[in-house]
Amino acid sequence: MMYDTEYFIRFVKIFAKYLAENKDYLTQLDAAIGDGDHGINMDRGARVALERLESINPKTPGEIMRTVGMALLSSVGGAAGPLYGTVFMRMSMTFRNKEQVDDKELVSALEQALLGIKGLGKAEVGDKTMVDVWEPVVIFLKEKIENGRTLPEMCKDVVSLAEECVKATIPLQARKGRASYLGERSIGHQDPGATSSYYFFKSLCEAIRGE
Amino acid sequence: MLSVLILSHSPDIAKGLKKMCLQMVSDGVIIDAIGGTRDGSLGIDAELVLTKLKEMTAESDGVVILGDIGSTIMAAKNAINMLGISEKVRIADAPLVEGALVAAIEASIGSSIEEVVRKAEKVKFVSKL
Repeated sequence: MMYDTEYFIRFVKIFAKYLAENKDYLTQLDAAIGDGDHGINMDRGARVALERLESINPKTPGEIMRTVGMALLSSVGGAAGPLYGTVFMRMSMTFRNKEQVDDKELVSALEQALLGIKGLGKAEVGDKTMVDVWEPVVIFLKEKIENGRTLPEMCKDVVSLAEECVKATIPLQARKGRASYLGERSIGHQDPGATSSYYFFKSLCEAIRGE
Repeated sequence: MLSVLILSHSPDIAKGLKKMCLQMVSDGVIIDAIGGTRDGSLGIDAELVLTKLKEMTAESDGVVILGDIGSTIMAAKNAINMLGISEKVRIADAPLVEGALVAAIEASIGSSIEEVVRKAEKVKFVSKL
């Protein structure tokens, strides 16, 4: 399928809705192993993003992603600001000024976003971070897209894979970020960044149905 | 002339550390600090880091950045990547307070950017007792 500005606006709105609904939940997860502001920060960032999108009326998917990226950079506050900011900026750079993108371009943008996250935070799978969701999901999507599949037909698998990956962070010991200061005490808690990443992929999928 | 950019998760640390540095050196270096989010709470405004870094690289020969916790370093790395100015900017892998003081002094006496970073990073191994 082709993904146009309407799709990306829907995606950002759904992502913002999940962040708002789960603000307390994300903050609670972060309070256990971090500084307890992930939910508040992401919700604030998403609200600024929506405000800026409304004020500029973007013409391309790239412009939407760039606007959201800059909004997150300015207003998230914690490490999630530069990390999610990079996700959206990298995707925007991949889309350039195209009016719509196809499945291949969308997945290639997600791959660039993953490289951006890893470049900034130097985290690998198993470190109990957002990479624990991003990397398996991007690898899965890339392989399937190369074999001619499309995102709409894989949405169910993507969402359940992302969910499994989030749950898999619970027994891990954190090796990056503030949770790593806790050492073994970080074991037994679900990673907040991985959790918000699950909402990210869930939103990408739900935006397809036009909800 | 070189610049030193202090980044902290706390607006108070940023403000206080800039003051400490300016007490040691008054000229020969540009010192600035960013701390906290736009509304003054704990965190970092990564967009402000981007605009400040752009400004500082334009008005000086190089910028040495010091940060406290991960998010400030990520904001710095993100700004360097987005501006594409890695040759004029260095992030010193040093404790923030002592590192910033040493970097400010070293920069003010006209040392090269590499020397400023080397001296700042050396404070990791300085014993206080």
